[in-house]
Amino acid sequence: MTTDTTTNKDRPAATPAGETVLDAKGVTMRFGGLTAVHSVDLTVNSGEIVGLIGPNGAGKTTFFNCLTGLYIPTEGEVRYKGTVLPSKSFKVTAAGVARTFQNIRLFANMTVLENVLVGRHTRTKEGLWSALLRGPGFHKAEAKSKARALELLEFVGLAEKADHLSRNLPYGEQRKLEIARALASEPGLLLLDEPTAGMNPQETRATEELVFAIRDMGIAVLVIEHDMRFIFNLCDRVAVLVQGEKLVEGDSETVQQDDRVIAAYLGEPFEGAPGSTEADATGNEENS
Amino acid sequence: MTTQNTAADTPTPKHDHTPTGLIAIPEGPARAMATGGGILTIISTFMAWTWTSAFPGDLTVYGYPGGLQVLVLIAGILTTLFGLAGYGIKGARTLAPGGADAALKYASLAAFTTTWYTIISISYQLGGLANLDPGGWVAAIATLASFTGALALPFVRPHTYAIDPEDTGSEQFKHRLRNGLVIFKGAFAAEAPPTPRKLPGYLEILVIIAALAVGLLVFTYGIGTEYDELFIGFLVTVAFSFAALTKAGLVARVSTYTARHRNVTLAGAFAAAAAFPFTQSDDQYATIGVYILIFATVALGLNIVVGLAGLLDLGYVAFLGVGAYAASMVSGSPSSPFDVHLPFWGAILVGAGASLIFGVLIGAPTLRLRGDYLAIVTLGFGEIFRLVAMNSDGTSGPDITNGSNGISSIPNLKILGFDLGAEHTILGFTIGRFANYFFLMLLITFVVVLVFRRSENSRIGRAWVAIREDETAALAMGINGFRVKLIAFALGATLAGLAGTVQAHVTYTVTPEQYQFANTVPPNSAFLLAAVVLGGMGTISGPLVGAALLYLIPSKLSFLGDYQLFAFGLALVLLMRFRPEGLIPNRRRQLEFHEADLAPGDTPPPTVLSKTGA
Ligand SMILES: Nc1ncnc2c1ncn2[C@@H]1O[C@H](COP(=O)(O)OP(=O)(O)OP(=O)(O)O)[C@@H](O)[C@H]1O
Ligand SMILES: [Mg+2]
Repeated sequence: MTTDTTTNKDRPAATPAGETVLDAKGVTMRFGGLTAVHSVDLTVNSGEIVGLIGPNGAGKTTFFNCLTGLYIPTEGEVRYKGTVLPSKSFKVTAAGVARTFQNIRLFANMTVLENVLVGRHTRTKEGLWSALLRGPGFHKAEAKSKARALELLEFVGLAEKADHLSRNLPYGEQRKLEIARALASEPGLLLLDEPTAGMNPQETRATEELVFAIRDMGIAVLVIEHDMRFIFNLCDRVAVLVQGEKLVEGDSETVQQDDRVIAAYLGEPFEGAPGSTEADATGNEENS
Repeated sequence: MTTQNTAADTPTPKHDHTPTGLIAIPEGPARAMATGGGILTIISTFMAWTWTSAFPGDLTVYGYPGGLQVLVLIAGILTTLFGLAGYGIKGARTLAPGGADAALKYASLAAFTTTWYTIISISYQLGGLANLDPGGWVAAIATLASFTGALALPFVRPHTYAIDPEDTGSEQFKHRLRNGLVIFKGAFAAEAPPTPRKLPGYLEILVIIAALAVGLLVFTYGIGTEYDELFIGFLVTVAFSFAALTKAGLVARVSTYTARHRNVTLAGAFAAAAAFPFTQSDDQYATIGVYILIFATVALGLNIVVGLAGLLDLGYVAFLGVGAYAASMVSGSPSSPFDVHLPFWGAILVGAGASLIFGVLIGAPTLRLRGDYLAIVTLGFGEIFRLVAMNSDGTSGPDITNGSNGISSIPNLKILGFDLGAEHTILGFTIGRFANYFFLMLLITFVVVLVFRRSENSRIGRAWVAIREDETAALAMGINGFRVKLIAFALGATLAGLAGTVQAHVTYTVTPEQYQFANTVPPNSAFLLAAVVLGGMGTISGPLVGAALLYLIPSKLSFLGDYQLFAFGLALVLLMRFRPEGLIPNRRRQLEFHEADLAPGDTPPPTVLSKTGA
């Protein structure tokens, strides 16, 4: 591709330039003939909230799946704190990257507390023998996990509902529970896929506060969202994905004022925008 | 953005404010009829129902009830008690914390069905109504009056929707039918009972013990039923009486107590089960007891695999077979290719170990598959095991299992010098061979129950449930799905191997036919799965109750004969339609299937723990 899509030359000084937490290089994901994500580079630094936006079908969720080991990218490399992430999703979580899902995927018939306890899985060791023999170590670990889970439920504001079945929670609370469950794995990076989808304005506001609080806990956040107010309020940096390629990256203002972004959202192929060439010249193989 | 808008305008439900019954009799006479009918029912059971003892159970005696009359007597007593409770009589009212009327309906239904079933059987078998004695007529009229009266009791009409006059005739008919069903169901519905007051601990434990004693009594009675009619009457009476007790709120009350005293309940249930052989005068029913226990224990092991981890294993009985074969080979049996005779501990280690290895060997390649594929592959492996055992007879394969003749004349186990094959006298009771094995098997059941309870309520158990609920999300939460599933699979296999060891010694002979996918004698894979589903997935008492029923029903109802599997299939279909969560529902499952019945925020009653103690 010829278009230089990154515009990170004037990054605001306010952004804490910490160490690089996530470093994705040239991530490409093809499904048969469809290239859902094409050569995307993205970094997330510690203490940052980074937004990932783009029209429907742009490949945002697919990109997340590539980061978290749900998909193995066709090309490219994802590093977390300097080491290449393993290709199994449970190992990615163990390494320190946790996520939520766009279409909520709670354990519907488990209680709210149990959902969070499942999130603790990677940070606890007790196996079958320990469960069967129930030594003092088992009880100690269970008590600790439970205390930590309740703390997290308190944090997202679901403590009184600890014993409810998660399926019975209203939509907004289910999203919060997903966040609590992800936090239970003590991640260094949290990936949120449309955390405010289906929420009313007050709930969206509360979620903003929640994300800030998570950042303040020292967890870097990468968030996909269609609610632009939410994104621009929240993010230190925003990357725009259009038809699988990163179009622009920069602070809120840069992105907001970029014509190509506006055009992409309005659906007009901007000249020179990625994808437009493919759309126009069907059949013509690109030579890059 | 707002998704939480107010409910859309639905047609206003028609709500009848003056409660009436299904039958137009005023409340006063109706109640009197129901209660009086109950009393008369009790009296009638002390009279003769027929003139000849040709009908089994000897219903010809005045003075005391016999056979089916005993069942009618119990139903009559329940009817009377709930009838009196309906009048608000002080002592009786505590019997029905959830309201007496629905309970009365079920109790009188129990009396009515059992009585009329008896009357009709007598007339049919002996050739005409002339064979009925006055007692039979009294019973028939009393139960009919009682049930009619109960049906006439007013109840709160459920919401129904008015019929749209513009609908086509058939639509209107369907709608009427649906409304009728809703009202009919409403007639038998009861409100959730109020949460019981906290009694002093010892009183609650006394209640639990009483409930367990009743459970043991019912179970012993059921095992001891000697003819088809009695067993059918028993099933009908127990089913409707249990429904009555449920509606009265008693079951919920007992289960709050059992939930509060789980360990006492567990210990009590096992004590009740251990008391079972002492209630028997000979070894005949202890035999049934052992087979039920083996079946139930294996079903409980399967419940870890299916109910907790959600792995549909259609070849589970193969693990029982592996355990049994392995144990039989080291038992010193003359037809075993190995000339070894290990003591009990060695045998059980070999049995469980072999199943464990087999479980891992089968699990490792297959557990990478999901859902239906896993079911099909396990089904295949189950059959492969049987065929290999069948063909390793020295002619079509290596000489290991002695082919279809199996490993026979397996000597009895000896544990610490205690010969399980011999009769012993304990406290004046004669404990025969099968009773010995019953105790041994009970010990193994206890181990399996403990394993189930402890693993369920731990990190690994939560991981299993998470995998069952949503495997992708579970992986994304850091659970090594394959590993965790393999543990569940191997654990289930090991537990089946334990049971297999005992089974080999109980049955003397191990043959490949014992381990088919579907067969008329449990345990086989299909029945095991059915026991889990029937009893309740993910619960401890569910598979135990399910196994007991699935064992007793085919063995008691000899007339079913060739139609047994057909009846079994039909029963499963009906069950899945009307009670998909099983007889003893898991708290989660109950919510899953009957969410609509509960107001949001309602907490359902906690899981019921074992009642039969078997
Ligand atoms: N497993 C898959 N197989 C084939 N195509 C896929 C797969 N997953 C995603 N796609 C395709 O990849 C493209 C990107 O989808 P993706 O879900 O990543 O979009 P998105 O940016 O998250 O959109 P939205 O904002 O609607 O969530 C879509 O065209 C989608 O159909
Ligand atoms: Mg998406």
